Amino acid sequence: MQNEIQKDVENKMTAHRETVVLKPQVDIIEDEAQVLLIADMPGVNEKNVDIDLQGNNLTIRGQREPASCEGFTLKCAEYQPDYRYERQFTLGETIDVEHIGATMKDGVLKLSLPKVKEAAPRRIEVKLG
Amino acid sequence: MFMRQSVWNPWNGLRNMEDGWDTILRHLTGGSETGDYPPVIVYMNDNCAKLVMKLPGVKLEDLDVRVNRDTVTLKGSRKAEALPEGAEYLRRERGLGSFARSFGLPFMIDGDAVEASYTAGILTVTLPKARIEQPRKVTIQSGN
Repeated sequence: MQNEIQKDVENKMTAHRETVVLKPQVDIIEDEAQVLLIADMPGVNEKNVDIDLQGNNLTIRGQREPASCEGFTLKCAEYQPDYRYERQFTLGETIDVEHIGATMKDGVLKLSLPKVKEAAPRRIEVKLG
Repeated sequence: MFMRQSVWNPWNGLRNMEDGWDTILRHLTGGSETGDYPPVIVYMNDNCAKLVMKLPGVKLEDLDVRVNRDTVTLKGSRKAEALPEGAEYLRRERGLGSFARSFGLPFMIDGDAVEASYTAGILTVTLPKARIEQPRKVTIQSGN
């Protein structure tokens, strides 16, 4: 009887488990050539990350690969088991969209956003004849 | 019947302040309820316990997991990466430094059978119960 009640409660809990949207913590590093964005998204692999750049608005999203916990009962949780990441940024620089680079390793996204090179002033040498 | 009376308690203010601190700490440590890092989810079944921890961007050589009797201890650190020359931080939110956590389980752990894996910034440690803790069928011998 007690087992049945427990099972019932567990089923209800599973049904009500919601996916929370978390904001990844980021570092943003800038140098002359590029803006580098580093985001912590544990549980997200390279297949489940999505980068969207519309004009100056950059959105990063990451879906959590579901944890395999079949046959286990959840005993205590310090974070929501089902979550995804999403965060938006406004870029001050014009980005060379063609050359954006992204890597994902150990739950850390590294996004390199190269700046559009301004037309360098050309100097034409005049040779003496 | 015992009636609880509302009495002015000079420490209440201090307690509220403590709660405030907890909230700040939770923020700093990446959302863990207790303020400990890394935050964990504990799963159990009849034979083992499974700890699932959010621990992004740590190198395996900087991680140390040890098991002793009924306790598992995790130690590690995340180091800062060298900043390229001429580059500067515009924003710095990601935590750095060392962390350590111990978990006491309600059973003795079979140290030889412990498994740990690190995938996509998630550390999973599976801790089977020591054989001594698992129920065993006892054969009853006939007295004659």
